[in-house]
Amino acid sequence: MFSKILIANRGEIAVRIIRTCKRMGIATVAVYSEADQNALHVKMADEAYCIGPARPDLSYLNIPNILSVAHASNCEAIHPGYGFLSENPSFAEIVEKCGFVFIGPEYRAIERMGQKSVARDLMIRSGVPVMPGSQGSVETESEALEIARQIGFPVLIKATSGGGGKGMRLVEREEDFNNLFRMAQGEAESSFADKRVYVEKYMRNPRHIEVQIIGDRHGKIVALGERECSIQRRHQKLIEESPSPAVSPELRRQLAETAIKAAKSINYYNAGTIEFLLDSDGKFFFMEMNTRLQVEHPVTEMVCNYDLVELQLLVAAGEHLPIEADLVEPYGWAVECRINAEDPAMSFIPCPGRIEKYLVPGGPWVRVDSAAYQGYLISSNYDSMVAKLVVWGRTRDEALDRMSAALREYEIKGIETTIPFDIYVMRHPDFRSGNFSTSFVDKHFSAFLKEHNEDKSQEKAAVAAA
Amino acid sequence: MEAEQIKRIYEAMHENGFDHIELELGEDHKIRMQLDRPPVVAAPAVSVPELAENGNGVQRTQVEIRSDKVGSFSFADRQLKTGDRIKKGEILGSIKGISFQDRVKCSLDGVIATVAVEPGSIVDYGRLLFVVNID
Repeated sequence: MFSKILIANRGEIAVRIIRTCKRMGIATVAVYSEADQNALHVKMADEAYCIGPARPDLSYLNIPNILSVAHASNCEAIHPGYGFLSENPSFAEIVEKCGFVFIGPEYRAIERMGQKSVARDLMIRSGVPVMPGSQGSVETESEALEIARQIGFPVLIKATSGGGGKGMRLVEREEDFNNLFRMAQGEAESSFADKRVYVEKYMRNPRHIEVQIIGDRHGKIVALGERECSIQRRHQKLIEESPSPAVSPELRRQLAETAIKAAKSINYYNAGTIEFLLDSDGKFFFMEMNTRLQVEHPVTEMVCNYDLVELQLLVAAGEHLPIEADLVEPYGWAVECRINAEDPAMSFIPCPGRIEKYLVPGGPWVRVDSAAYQGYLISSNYDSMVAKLVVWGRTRDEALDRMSAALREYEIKGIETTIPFDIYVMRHPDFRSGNFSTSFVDKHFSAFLKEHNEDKSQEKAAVAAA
Repeated sequence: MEAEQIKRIYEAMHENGFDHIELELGEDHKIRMQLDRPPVVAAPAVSVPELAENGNGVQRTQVEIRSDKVGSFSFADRQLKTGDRIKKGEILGSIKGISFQDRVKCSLDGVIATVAVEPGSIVDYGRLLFVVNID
């Protein structure tokens, strides 16, 4: 096992990785920008070095400075976390060429899965179901339109190098196709410096289901159940759970087998996630693969009883996975709410600022993954996530009740957060019933807003009366 | 290798901040490219001149020399200490990173007021290296 690693990230995920390293007796080196001098990961790591100014391209994306710290401080391996350089194949390649271990998959796997249309073709060849659509990228408008006609509207035009919904356009009617095709190309070009796009059939109201896998360097790949991530807003996940209320044991087995097949087709190792769209008939289609640890990994840890960062470190060090089965069945139920510094009443506009009062919930089976503390300043330079609140219960209802109670216990003053929306979702009958899709937030947002504004004005009236 | 390819590698090195690169082309062919960059002249770019008062009540300008790179520090020809006189253009030390070695140069004549760095230590971005009293 490694004796010292560098964590090329910030925020809660850097803290999360440091915690596992401390337990395993691995020394940690943190890197930080000038904006993060007082960050928790800097305080918790054994060593910490400033690598540049606040701007991410000059610090957390500064490959020479990160590698120079790893070299000077005698680190053996680098954990990229999620975001930043985690899915940059050049970084993974350079890390290994410089003699460090990259705690993640081989750079070629990152490269192939990063090109969405390449990944799609690869899956077709491996017998993994994908949504009907083009083979590879499409060159011209007329070629793309021809494919759209064949598969039938509505269709999605997606960026080959895309992610997070950028460079993506939904086309409902044929007459809008050419216009939206050009818009998708333009956005793909400006966001990813790659204007290539591809066409795919659009599924209405799907569920977003993903399978966590982890592989070692000896060819063993294990699926750690699925996660339900349908509660999203503009392709950003808000609430995740494991298992999914829509997945039967039989479907879980099929999903796991498919995910393992997909991973084996590219000789994958370390942690990864295969995302699928699930329709109301239980048919599923490959969407994309994320070649890194995911934000929502704790729900899997809670029901599978494995520390995913520990497994990542083990397999990166060349050890065998300590799991016999191909599929780890979930035990009980886990839910995660992402607590973001966003104002749900203002359509989730980010609102960075200083946390004046901070009190975290506790009790049995309540976990808070966060880098926040009282007095902490949430910078506008980085993403707005304050914390991940994760709970476990023997049943789904027990887990959701525990989450409701924990959300009410959570006190964050000084900034607006998404907690009121999370509370609303936890008691919503559609969410409770387990019968929901990715359209949940769009469908119920105005009802939430009405209720939220009424609550606010009642609060104000109560304060005025007092 | 085509001139166009060399140009592209040069641009990639520039963009990613690498000073040199070694390429293996087949088994026996290796090329090494080194960017001809000027050494870091830390003083004028990153320091803030301040007016400091010495014991005799005479005001003089003090300059902080800070690192804008990350790596291991070593002194140049001599290990500097407080009171040492340094000359404009003198190399005070160097910072060695993963792919570069940058010289820390003084841009003005003066006397070392503080040595804030030890040989072999890791200096990070913005780290204070020296304070110099400028003549």
